[in-house]
Amino acid sequence: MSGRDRSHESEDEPVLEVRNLVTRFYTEEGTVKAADGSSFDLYEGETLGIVGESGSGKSVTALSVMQLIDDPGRIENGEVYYRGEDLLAKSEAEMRDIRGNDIAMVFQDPMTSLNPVFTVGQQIMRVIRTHQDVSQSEARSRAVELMADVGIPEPEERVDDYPHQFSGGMRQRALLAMAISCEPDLLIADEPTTALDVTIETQIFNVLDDLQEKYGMSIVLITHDLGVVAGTCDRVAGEPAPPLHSRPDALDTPAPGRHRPTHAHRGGRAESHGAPVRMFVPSAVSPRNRGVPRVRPGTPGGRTRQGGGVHPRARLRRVRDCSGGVR
Amino acid sequence: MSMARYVLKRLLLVVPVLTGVSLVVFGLVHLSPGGPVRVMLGPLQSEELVAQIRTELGLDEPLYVQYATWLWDAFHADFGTSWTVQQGTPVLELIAERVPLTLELSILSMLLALVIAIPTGIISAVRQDEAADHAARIAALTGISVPNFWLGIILIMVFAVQFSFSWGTGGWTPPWVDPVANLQQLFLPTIALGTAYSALIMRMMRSEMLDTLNKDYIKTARAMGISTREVILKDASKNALIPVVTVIGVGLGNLMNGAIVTETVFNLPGIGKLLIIAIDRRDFRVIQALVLFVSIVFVFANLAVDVLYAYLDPRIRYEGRD
Repeated sequence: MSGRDRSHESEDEPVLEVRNLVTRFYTEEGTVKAADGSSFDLYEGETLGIVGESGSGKSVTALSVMQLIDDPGRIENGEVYYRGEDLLAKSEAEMRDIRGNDIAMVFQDPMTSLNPVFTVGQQIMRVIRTHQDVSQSEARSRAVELMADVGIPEPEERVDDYPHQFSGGMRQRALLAMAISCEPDLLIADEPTTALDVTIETQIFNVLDDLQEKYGMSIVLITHDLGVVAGTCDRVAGEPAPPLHSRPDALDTPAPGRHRPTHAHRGGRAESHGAPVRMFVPSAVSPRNRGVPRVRPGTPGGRTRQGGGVHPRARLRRVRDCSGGVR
Repeated sequence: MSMARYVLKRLLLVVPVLTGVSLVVFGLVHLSPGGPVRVMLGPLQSEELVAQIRTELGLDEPLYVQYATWLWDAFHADFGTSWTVQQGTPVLELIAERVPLTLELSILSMLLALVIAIPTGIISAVRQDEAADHAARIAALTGISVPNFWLGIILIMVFAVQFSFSWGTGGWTPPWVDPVANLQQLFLPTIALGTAYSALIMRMMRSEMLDTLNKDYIKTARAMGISTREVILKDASKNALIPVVTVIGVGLGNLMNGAIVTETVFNLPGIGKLLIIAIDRRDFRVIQALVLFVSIVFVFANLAVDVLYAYLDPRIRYEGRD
């Protein structure tokens, strides 16, 4: 499947639909409910932020969409539709065609996400040649092009460099180049800047923006940083947390000014976007199932929250104003 | 370019190592109580005879002169003549006619070990905690625990004695004379020697593969639609092999040691057997030359490992560049 032909599709049909996704890990210590009823929709060309604290199941949700959950993990429940096709019903071979080709993913730590024993070029070319019937030299020139697209200087030379010759920021760019090499419709970025420092972070988000503009893909951005969301995403979904009644501290509203969701540099970026940030809390954190106040789309000053669904360390806390730092 | 520089650098490092090795090899013989001639002749011979032979062999000269002479001769591949193993025969000749057998046995054993160990290690890691993994691990533990001379004796008892299996029961025909007979003769010794190393390498391969399969770049490759087969055989294996190569290199040196015992058990005329005879008859020139030879093999096996390392791991190849 390519899904590239969008002419017949209605504008309102989501690119990705996730409904009540439950993924559990059956370890010797017990069952871990890593993703516990995630639901969200992603529409054409938009950026959806998935927020939640460490251990709340954001990454597992993304890996479940890609069907990259290994033992002892299992997708127990839920539906994942990509352009109307049920991904959970697909075979491994069918999923392989989709991965990298229609849906690509970049991970948190660029330092360890590239294979140290192959050149950056070889790794990009391999993805291209896995999904497209092109010659070695065509793949190579495409790799150089992609590396230029993600802002790697002197791509003709650096295509033959090994990952250890790249800095962290450059490695994440290389991974982005790899991810977009087959022009996927959907890119899942799992905390793509968490391991990088703030100046590099801004650059990576600029690259993501440019790529989205150039290739017109939809992006799922997983992050624990509401500032990133405010600066980058069109909408945001939260990973569900345990019921409020089990968390006595949940209703303590932090004092004004205690929560500072953004940094100054991101505020600037958000303005450069031009559009106000629309906040949206999907059904997963609807009042019905979790007792969290509903936020109407387009309402700055609405309330969402960060909440860890699993880890006891994750402190539940309500955020008064998600776009507070954006202005 | 950088690869050539790396190899050159490693080659230069061989010089001090071999100097050290030569000092130890030379010193060992002279450290024997009463000196090598007394050891050779035994306590019953007269002081006069000992002194006479010492002079004959040049052992009455100062140690540094002896060392320089020995080293100079060794450089010219002259290790003197044998005293008691085969009187009058040049030591080099004695060794040279036995080296092919030992090298062949070591290489065949290593190949057997690799052929068994690498795939088993990979399968064991991919099928972690499944039946195949348990079976492989039990086999590996057994292989490591069983001494190879014991396995050799058992193989002889079972195959040669019980089933009158005529392979591998002494003697050696060079492969260039009769390759079939040659392989038949080395069949059982290779199994005896190779299995223990395959167990060692398999365990190493398994744990390295398990470690590598959890790396982020494996997840990345899979997320890009690369097939599981390719991810395991290409991405994971090449990374997992890097530490395993160390074990292979040390193993190649150890195989020479193993060969000494195995050759004795299977009555094969290799350098291992020669060393046993030389020690038994106190032929110090033969012992010196053999220990030096084995050390050189060890050093160059490790050099080969380092070069292989650089081939497998670009981070080593490019070290010190820029």
